[in-house]
Amino acid sequence: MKQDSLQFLNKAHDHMARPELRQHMDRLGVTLPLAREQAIAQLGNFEQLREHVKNIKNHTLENLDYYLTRYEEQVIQRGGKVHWARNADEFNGIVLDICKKHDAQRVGKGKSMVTEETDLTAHLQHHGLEVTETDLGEYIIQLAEEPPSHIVSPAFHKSVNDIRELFLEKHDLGERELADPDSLVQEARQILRAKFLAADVGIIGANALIAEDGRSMLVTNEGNGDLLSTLPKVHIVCATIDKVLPRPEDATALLRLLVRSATAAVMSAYTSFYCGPRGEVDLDGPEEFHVVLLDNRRSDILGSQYEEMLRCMRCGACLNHCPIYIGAGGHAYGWVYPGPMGSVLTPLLTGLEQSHTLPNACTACGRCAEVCPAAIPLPDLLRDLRAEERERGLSPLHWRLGLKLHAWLARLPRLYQVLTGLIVRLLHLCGRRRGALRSLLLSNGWTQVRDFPAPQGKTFKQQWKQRQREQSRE
Amino acid sequence: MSEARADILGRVRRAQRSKLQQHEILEALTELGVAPPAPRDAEDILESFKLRLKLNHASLEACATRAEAVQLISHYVYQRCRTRKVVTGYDPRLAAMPWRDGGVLVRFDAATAEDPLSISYAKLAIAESGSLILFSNRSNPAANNWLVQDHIILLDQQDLVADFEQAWEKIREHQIETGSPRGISFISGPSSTADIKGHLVFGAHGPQRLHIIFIGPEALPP
Repeated sequence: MKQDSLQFLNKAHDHMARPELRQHMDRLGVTLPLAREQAIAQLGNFEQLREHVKNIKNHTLENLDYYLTRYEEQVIQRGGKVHWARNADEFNGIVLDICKKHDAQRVGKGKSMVTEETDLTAHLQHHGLEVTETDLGEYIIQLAEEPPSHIVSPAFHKSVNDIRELFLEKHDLGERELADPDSLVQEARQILRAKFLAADVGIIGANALIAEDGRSMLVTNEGNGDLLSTLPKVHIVCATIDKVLPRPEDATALLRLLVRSATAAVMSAYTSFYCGPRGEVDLDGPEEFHVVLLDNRRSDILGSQYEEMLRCMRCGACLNHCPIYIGAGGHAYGWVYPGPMGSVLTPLLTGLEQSHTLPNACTACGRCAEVCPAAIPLPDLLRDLRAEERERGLSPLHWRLGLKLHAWLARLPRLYQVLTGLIVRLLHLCGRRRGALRSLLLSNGWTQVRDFPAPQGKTFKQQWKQRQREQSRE
Repeated sequence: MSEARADILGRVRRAQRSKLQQHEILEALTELGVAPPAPRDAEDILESFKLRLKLNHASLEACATRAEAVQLISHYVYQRCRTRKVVTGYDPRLAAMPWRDGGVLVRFDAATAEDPLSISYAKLAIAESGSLILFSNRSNPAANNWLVQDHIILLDQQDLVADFEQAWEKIREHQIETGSPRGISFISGPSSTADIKGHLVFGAHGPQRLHIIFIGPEALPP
């Protein structure tokens, strides 16, 4: 996917100027967090479970070579093939080769963030294959030719009417109402059913890979991934090297956190564990089974100060709880992964040069770390990336000079107090009548859309001192 | 083995913090144990399972014997689809049921897109999540779980377990006895989607309805 992360501020600005989008996002940022909170409260032992899954994930990452080779052995033993790809090009090449080997023309795709990362669909289409996204949300944005705006609900930014108009335009089915979500889903079912039956290759993602038995865990509510694992003659699982877990029990422990964090449900409709092609006596299933494992700089993250990011299970909870994501919208992030997890992952996978705006998209409110089921200290990682950005001179010069000035002043507490005291007094005098200021020197961006509340006349320190004095007198 | 494989594993080995031997890794894993016990909606696992099924939008009927199950199926199939024809896999438990007594015509095969309804027999079920566990193999081809509009799953009372951890223990036992299936699926409701503005709609790609028939003396309402 073409990256556009440096345009974050402009795109966020455009998004905020469209009130109809804001409304959708506000719902996402309120409804889902409330539901999640309830689901987590019902779980009763969230902290304990989160700690357990964190320990298991850390153990696996500490011994990743062992678990990856164990997983590979198991897949081979069950008649499957494992392919390794260092980067997006190798990854796309491997998948294309498999399709070509089988003279495939039609490919059905399930939801997979890995394939978004490598832009697999465009690559296959470029080589003449017909690729259909089968997850309903992904299908909608494929029709609309837009990137996903959320990692769990990719089409959340689309209204019912947007989708209706899209279907009326793109599906050649004559006159029809399509007035409600039910009829839209029915129509998509009918169209996509034909695609499932005609697909030569089924490509799906994985929520976890299990070293003990070589199976991959697939979590869906729609059942599209299961149809793709069953009907086409070739089945390809796309995953990254950090997805492996030791035992099936570990995958379902993660599942308890994943589903509640992603959708506030206790369980998804379908959770399947697949490995291998159909057996001799089986009545259905693929003739060939492949797993393509992508590294794409994850081995660089391993052992680095950002290693904890490899525990991410892609639930999307940090997005729904992030005031910046809700305000700016997913597209502002300019690549595959938005929100707090995206602001950490994008610089690590694509380079800080391409994306140093993202770690700044943070108010340090800490909600993401609070709700993260993998206990990733996202605000800390974002801060480290900002520090790196400054050290490497990537941030704008006036930001760096401003920070330098601030750092210099902060080290001279006397001068700092005198200066801030003066400024606060000045602002107090200017805004005395209205209690707020309409414009502010060097801060037009802020005052353009809202007033600046005028200070009460004294700094915190001055007030504190005064209070101490009064108390000692009493 | 490919150059990419050697390269990736080499980089992983250099980067990862532990340099343990295989037996040490397995010891460390054993020490970590399994997840803390999952909460249940009710003390009794059957009650808990029933409640979960309801919340998962699945319907439930109960009876004491397989012969009674045939009658329930006959009624359900006719009510829903105005047919007597159903498709099932070669599960010996299903093969031995007195279908003719209920006037149900069974085809033992993988479902096609023309089949409106299929019947599966669960290997196990989980109270924690209201899930039915099916193996994808000759006794239950995977297509039977996802190509139909109506999916009926039978469950024996003795196969209900409390949580995921107990389920995996039993799955391991089953695999030793009958071999390892291509797929293991936890089915916990009809196919659904909320991708259109968060509206929950059933029958996204798979079954629109999931109907469970629970067979066991305790299943009967008091």
